[in-house]
Amino acid sequence: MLLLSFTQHPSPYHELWTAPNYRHVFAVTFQISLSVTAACLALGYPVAYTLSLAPARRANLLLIAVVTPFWISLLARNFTWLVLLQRGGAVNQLLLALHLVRAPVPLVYNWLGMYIGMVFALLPIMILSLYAVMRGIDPTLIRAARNLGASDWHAFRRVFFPLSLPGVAAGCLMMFVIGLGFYITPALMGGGNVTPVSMVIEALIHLTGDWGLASALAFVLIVATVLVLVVYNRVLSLDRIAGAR
Amino acid sequence: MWRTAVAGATALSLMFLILPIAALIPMSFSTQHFLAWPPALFSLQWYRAFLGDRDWMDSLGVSLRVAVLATVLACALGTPAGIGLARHRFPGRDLLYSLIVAPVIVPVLIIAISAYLMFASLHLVGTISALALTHSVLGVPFVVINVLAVMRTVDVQLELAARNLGATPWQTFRRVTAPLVRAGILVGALLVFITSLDEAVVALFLSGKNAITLPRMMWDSIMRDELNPTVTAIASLQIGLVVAGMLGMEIARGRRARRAERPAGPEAVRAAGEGFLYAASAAPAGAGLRLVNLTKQFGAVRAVDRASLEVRPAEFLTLLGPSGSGKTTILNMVAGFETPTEGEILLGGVDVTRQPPDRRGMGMVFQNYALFPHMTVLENIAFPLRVRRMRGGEVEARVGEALRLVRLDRYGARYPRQLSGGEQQRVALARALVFNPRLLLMDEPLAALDKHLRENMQIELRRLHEHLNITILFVTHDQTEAMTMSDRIAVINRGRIEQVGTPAELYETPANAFIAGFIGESNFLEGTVASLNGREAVVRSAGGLHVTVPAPGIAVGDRLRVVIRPESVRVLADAAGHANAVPAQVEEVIYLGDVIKVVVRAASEETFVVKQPNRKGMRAPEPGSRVFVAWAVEDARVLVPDSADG
Repeated sequence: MLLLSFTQHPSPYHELWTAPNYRHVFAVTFQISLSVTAACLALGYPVAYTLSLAPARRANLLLIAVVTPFWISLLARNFTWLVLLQRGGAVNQLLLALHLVRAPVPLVYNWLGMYIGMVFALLPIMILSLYAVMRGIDPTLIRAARNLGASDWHAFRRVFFPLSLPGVAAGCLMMFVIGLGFYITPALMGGGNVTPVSMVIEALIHLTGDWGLASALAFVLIVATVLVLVVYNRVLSLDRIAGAR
Repeated sequence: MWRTAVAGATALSLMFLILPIAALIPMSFSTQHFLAWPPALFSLQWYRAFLGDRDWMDSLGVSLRVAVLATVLACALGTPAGIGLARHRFPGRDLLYSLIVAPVIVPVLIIAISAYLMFASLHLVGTISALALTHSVLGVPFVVINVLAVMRTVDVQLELAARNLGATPWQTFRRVTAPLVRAGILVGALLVFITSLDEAVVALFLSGKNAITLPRMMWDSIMRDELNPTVTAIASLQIGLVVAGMLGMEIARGRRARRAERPAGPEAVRAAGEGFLYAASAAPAGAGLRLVNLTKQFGAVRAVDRASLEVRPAEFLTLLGPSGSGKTTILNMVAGFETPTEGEILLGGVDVTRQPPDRRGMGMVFQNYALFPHMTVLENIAFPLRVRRMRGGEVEARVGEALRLVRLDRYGARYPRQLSGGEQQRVALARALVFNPRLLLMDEPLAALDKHLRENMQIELRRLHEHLNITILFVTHDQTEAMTMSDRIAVINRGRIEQVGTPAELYETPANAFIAGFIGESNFLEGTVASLNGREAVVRSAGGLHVTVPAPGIAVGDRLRVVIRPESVRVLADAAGHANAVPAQVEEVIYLGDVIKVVVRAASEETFVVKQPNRKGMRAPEPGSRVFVAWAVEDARVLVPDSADG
């Protein structure tokens, strides 16, 4: 495939470089991935925090709840959201009943729908990777902080949070990298109104049969992913040298 | 306030995760085609639409076949890779690892396109094998990562222990490594299976017309006609299956736990009453061990430096030294876990330096016991016999005997984690003794026990040694422990054997200052010989004291070190009639129960520690009071400070 992208004439990379719409596509892809990562962190951190403080039995129950979405097919999960978010769906009905909106609002086949679908798909992974690190934090440290005069909030802010940062870093990296290549959810829930790289690649192959350009795009996507990993790695090890951990 | 906020945020996120799933199940029973909320209940038509439809069922069949094939492939490739990566360092190891886990980072879409290009040129698009192969590429990382994670928790010592107990490398893998890693392989396999069953993107490219998988069918259905509720029926069936599977696993685990708790039969209980030394086994006497110039170099560090030592048959010899002194390295070389850089190891007169550990026939008790966690107590003790292919009846008899020997008759069916530290220790001992080893190695086996239990075990070990007539090489850093149990002690410091002798020899005639300080407490005075007077000499100390010492083979002007044991020194009110009486001031008085320890400082700034037995009527001096400390000439011992810089 790589070969294809380099051997074809005229070089697809030339087209990639000159046409402004492909640069736009990559910008969109990064933007989606970043927003989804941020949303997952905001939603996932409190859950992982609660999990790590809960007694073993309750933590296990909560954990089962967190991984429930994994029990069913990714397609079925997206399908459920499509049903719930459609014009006459449950969410619109609820909004109407609460008089928050006057007419049904479009919640799906657009940016919003795609975000909801992607966050829903990736949130459990974020929670699990945060929890994996938080579980390793010695609870005695929190007790020590409280004993030394820190409030709940200060013990969290000064002790727990800094110690949980490796989990945050790992989780965010994973979210971001998966987000870059996500295909199914944008395709189903974006309804063609949002086009990240993955969808462009698929369309190029299935609609226009332009394998060369598709391969070139794919290659650039891989390079971008690896670049993100390398930069991330570098920055994090710098942190470690600086004594953050 | 803070807690409420956290709890609220958590509840919100969890609702976001669970509600859609909860909404899905009622939708699957809906009577309408157009899905609204709340759905009009109750109909099974969507289940019929799925289960009764040929196309759906065919796609399910294809998916299952692909998933099974992909799982088998991924496990077959991933397991050896995982174990190899965990246990061996080799050039290119990191690169290999990156290559194996790369499919996690590369978007599935790209893998799917590459696979399509490859299989299209082979005319394999639309076949189950093409799908399974691609899915196994996606799945191998799951297997490798899980096997690696489990291998990290598997103590390397367990594998060493198996080798020591007589297992060949292959037996070690089959009976110890593989069962312990099985959990990791299973989790990995499960993930591969689920991923493959749920995979739509690869199927989008590779299904062709003949190998339509279930997700591909679902994808087409969602894309074609708007929101066909059959999908909800499929998803609900999936949930049902997962719940059933989890319940099944929970029940199985409960049953297994109960089986492990069940006590042994009444026969075993009766035998337990017959006392510790019931099994006077007629084991052959232990073999002697000889170390000749044994040396181990780790990079620039010489961990063991030309150690020579003779352990006599049936002797209890202890290697005693501070941590990092090289004593465990010596033990590891004797057991065969480390290869000496130089030197020889002879067991019963035979050179075993290059023999693999399983051929040496030495029992070993590890510091953390290294009991196999996946085997019961009985299976652990039977292990060395089974790898030697002993017959079942004899195995049973020997294991029973070994269990009685360590008084654990009723614990045979338990797992190591269900035992206390002391009990685990005794199982480890039984396992190391059951095959009548010619030499028993013990690496700080009592260090993890509390003081009381440790003292009991010391006496038990001592009795066991006398009874079994076995050679024991014991390693500890605790001098009391060494003195309690050993026939002889070899003191090790910085990789060298400093002195070998009975506890009394080491205490009364230490060869150098390190031993004088390490075995018991000592007062040291450094000085020069000022004059000789027949068999006595007068030494002038660095602080200016003049003390009289015995004078075997020293000359005027020699620099030397005088050692005086604290219990030889007495605190006196006046100096009359004592050869060595030093005026001093009492600094500290420490009450220890059996003795009273007094620290005094002479005018020369040299301090002395005095230990007085705590007898009735003895008065301890007051701190700050002026006294004399005195000792008999023959209680002082003279060391030439050449090697005495410890």
